[in-house]
Amino acid sequence: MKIGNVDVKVSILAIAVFVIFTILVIIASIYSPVVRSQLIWLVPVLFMLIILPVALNYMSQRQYADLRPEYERQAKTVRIRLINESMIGKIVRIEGVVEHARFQFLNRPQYSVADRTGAIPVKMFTNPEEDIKVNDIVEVLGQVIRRYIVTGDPVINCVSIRKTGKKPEN
Amino acid sequence: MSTTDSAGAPTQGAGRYYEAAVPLVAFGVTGAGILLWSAGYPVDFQYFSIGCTISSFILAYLAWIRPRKDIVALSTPIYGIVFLAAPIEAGAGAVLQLLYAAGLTILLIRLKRRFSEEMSGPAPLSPDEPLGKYQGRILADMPPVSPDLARAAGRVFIRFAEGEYEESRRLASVVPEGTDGTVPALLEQAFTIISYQAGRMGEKGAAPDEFPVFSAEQQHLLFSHLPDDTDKERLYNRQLENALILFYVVALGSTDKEIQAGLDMLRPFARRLGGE
Repeated sequence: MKIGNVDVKVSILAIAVFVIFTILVIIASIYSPVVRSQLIWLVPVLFMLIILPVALNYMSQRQYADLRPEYERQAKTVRIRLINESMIGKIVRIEGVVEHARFQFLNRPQYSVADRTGAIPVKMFTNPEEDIKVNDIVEVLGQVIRRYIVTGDPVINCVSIRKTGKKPEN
Repeated sequence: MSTTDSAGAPTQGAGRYYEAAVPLVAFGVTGAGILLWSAGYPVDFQYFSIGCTISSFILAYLAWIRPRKDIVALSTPIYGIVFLAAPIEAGAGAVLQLLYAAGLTILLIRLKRRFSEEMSGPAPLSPDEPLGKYQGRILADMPPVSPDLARAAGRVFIRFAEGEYEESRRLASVVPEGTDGTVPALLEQAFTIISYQAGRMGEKGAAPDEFPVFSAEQQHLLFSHLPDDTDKERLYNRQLENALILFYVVALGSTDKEIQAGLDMLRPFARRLGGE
């Protein structure tokens, strides 16, 4: 779904929550006159369950789109093995193959990207521009942060992840 | 009575009194307040937090005079002042102050363990770990390294690890002299390799066709063996990793406290370069 120039995606979880509560409200309103009398505010609240995630996604996609040119300008291409705790806060570019991909259905994907020197977790706090799958060769732009914000190994807080190719099957 | 040595660390005698004062004053004054309250005296418990406030200032002082500052210990007086200024009833006040006194004691232990080690330099490498074994080999097979050379190697390594590649390239392009006016060939080549690769860091694309490498005669002094010439990218990466690890073990001989503190922090990175 596009709003202006921004490609907005709603997570399957948000859709599921909306569907479940809609069904509950429908069933409740069939059997209970009390619920029927409250539909005047229940229906708008139900729609907020889907509108709010859309709005939040739109805002985060816009923010990331604004950040990308700045990150492109500042990022240094580094080998994954050279990323360490002293680089926390640095903006980097890495290139590698996606070894694992999780939580895409939550619009909070986490990847493990590996190059010839090592692998590093890549976390994103919104959905990526493209659909990234395991074995895709990608270029990642992001900032080096701690895994648990204040502690943990260095990971990449991804602002942009783009496919540059696909790993051969063999 | 002088309380600090030239490095800014508390001398043993005075330092121990200050360190002991942190838990004693915090728990002591709070305990006195609890005793008076239990005995039925009408106490305004807010003012018994003066013990914790004083302890927090002592802890902040102990953190301040260390070469590496602990921001957590330095910020404790803020909370001490808040406890002193905020009215509170006796029961809750007693619990809060006891917890705060315990927190100050834990922070003191943390300050002594984490920041005292850094004052005396990084812990030596264990001879059983790969880096330690490599350090042993280098010390045995390479001529002694001058303090200037060790310091230069440390600066290059630290700036490279921090991602400051341009500065690392600049530092590595100037090789200081060794003890007898010469520089071991291995180290000189390592400076060349790091200067070259740091200058190319940030460029996309595969390894260049030609690049500085360690010679065949130097192979036995490297941390890890170099792969076949056919795998150019691995060879290129491994040159840099070997050069960085060499710089790390050489720099451990530096007497510069700032370099030592930096190397201590970067030990996990050095181990990772070695494949651990």
